[in-house]
Amino acid sequence: MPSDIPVDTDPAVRGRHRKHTRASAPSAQDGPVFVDSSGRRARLLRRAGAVLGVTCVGYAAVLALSFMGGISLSPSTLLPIDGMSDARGGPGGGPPGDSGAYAPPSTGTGR
Amino acid sequence: MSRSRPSAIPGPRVVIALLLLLGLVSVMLLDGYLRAEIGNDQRIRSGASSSKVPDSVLDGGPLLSFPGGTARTQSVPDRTIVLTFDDGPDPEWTGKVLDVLDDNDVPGTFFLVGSMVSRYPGLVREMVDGGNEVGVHTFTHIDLSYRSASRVTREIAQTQLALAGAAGITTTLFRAPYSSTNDAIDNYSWPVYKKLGALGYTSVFIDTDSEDWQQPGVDEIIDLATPKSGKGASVLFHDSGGDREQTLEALPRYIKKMKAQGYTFTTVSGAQQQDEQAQSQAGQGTPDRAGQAADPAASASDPEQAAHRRADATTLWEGRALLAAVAVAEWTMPGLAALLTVVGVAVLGRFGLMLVLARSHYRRRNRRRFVWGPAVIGPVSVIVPAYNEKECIAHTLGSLASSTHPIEIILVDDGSTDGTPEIAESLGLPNLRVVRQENAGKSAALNNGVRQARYDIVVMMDGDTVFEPETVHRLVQPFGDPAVGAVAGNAKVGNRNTVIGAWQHIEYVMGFNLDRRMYDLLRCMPTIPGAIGAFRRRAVLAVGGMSEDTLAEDTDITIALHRAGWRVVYAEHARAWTEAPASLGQLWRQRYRWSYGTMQALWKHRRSVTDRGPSGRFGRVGMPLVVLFQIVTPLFAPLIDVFTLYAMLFVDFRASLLAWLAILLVQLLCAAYAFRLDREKYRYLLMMPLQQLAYRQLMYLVLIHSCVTAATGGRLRWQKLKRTGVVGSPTSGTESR
Repeated sequence: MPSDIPVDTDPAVRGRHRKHTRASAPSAQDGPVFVDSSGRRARLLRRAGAVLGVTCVGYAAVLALSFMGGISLSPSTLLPIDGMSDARGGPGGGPPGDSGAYAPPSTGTGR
Repeated sequence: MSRSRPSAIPGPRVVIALLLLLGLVSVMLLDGYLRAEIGNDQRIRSGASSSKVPDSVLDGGPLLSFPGGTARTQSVPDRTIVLTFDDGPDPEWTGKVLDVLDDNDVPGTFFLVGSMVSRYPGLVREMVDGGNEVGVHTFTHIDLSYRSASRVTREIAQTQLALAGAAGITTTLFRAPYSSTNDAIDNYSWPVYKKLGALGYTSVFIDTDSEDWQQPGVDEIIDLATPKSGKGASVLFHDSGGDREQTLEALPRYIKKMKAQGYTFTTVSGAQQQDEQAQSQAGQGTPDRAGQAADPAASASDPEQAAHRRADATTLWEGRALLAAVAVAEWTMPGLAALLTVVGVAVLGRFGLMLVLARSHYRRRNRRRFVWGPAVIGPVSVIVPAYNEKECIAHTLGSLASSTHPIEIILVDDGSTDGTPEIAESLGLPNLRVVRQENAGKSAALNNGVRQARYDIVVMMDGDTVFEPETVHRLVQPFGDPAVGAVAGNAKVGNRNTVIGAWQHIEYVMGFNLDRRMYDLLRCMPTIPGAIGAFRRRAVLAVGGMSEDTLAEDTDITIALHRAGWRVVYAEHARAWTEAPASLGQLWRQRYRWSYGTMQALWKHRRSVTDRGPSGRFGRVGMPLVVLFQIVTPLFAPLIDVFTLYAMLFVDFRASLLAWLAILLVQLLCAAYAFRLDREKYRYLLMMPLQQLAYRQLMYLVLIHSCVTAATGGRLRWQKLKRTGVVGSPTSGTESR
């Protein structure tokens, strides 16, 4: 029967005492397992959580926008080549003739 | 010792959890929407009247637009083909179709389904860069005539967003799903075309159908796609929605054949412009292209992509955001599905393993000639740590007094303030010793008891647990085997007649009869329950006694014993009756302590994974099993519920419900088997469906909560206060907690 474990008069101390002698365990800080007294991990995790939360909100917002809205696609941006006369220059954004995709309405006398 | 509740659920944690849930729900909704059935082109709504559709439209050419608000149809000029492809882009076929078109140097017009665009934006970019034209074929391939105006607008707007995100353009071409030739326009669909026409869209019909979606054979496709006597044609092909092998084979042959007949190929816009030229030539009588050439702006862009509009900045970014959202969903869902598969396999594998091993364990241990070794008849020490247990302690000690096995009882009073030790002493039990200590926690109390114990076998129990007369005797018999260092007993829920009690009863019976039997045979039982366990005193002392490193000192010591090479077994016939937490709050705190403590113990002993000998054996067999079954699978169990819900909403309601019920049935069968092994009454199993719905959610919330606490390294309040007597009778619970 191994008696290398001293019978401690103050049992509360023993857990801690034993831990200090266990040099191999890196978790042997001055508290119980997992406890991080400095609060650094908590801070880090809180930040990560906040970032994640914001990302989720952003994600939901993007979806909400593209499901409710598509508001930016007002009819004027979609007028066809041979649409009404006010279609000239209507489509939004790109300058006419720019890199091919945009064709201004060829209304008028041409046809 | 009144503890305030709020510390259990800190605010930010809940907020973040809800936000994550919102994100997950968003991802799943988007994914469900994207994967809405896109089947083969099926013509539906036939036979409806077309009385309100102008005859000029019904008999006109396939290109329907509304310049100046009046309907105009245009035909594809003679000896001209407009190749149209519906339902793409498809990851398998569209690229090949584009290659064929490129090889033959002809353009095509692709009517794209927005959900597919958002999933495969690269193909759309390739398409547009290659000089092809694209049109809107709605976002989810729905029959627009059945839908509300807002749905129609949304479908088209979303598709335009996806196009903008994918290729930086929007388009003015539109083809309705399930549309075909002009004369198929009916009173239901006509208002849709009129409305879209007013928005500036050209609705593109067909006059020649290759019918490739029916896979009639390559020759047949070519035949069907060939217009009569040199006429022009708007031909329908598909680059998605099924096996397009025949289409791919037919296309090059078709193109070569038509070219040989003198045909040219163009896009919808190209055909429209040629038609306009022909009209103006007819009007002016001058067959030159002056009109076209006189407009420098028009010649600056590709006339075959005249329907494309450069997307404005807002649309562009909205579109890119949508595509990014879709990409996230595309990556997340398969990831989650894979995880779900792992969890599902683990859960089912566990059930299978448990059933097999539990049966084997039961048979082995109940064999008539089974013995552990020489019968253990010498006296043993029973240690009862008590902290404010005045309601239960008399019962507890009374039950020990009628033990059939010779025992000494050591009541370690952990600084009770309610007179527990006095009650104990007043009982006048001859074999009872009361040891008092300052309040120092359960571990300290147990260690104190172990030191005071006179005999080499110590039985540990809770202050609120009641033993049967035979319990101690049965519990210590395995020590006849010198290799056995500790024995777990069979804890029973006494107060099982409430809902919460019945749930815990089911859980206990399953845990003891399936899990513990399995772990016993695998020689890696992770926990000897605090309510009933027996230890070799020298084994406990050799590993340093109960430690205060973790909240689950019972798991900690058990693992330590395994690592020291002791066998830990389960004695099923040694029963202890315990009061289970009677309120959700108490249950929450008890389980929080258990799950957090288990994680602490596992982490504390993580080095065992690389150890040699018995320690390494536990590290490599026991640890992974415990981590998988007690942390990973329950942690991801919510996935099963979430996916079931998802599948019910988006895939197949009945099949998903049946699958869920099947899982419930498997669990029910396992539970029933556990009940049978313990000869328990089956009627408590009636609570099981409800348990699956409510109790399980609570359990994994606890687990998630403990994981987060472990990660943040927060100090639990009761970690400092140590044992507050978590398992207690309902009456003591109200005032001590």
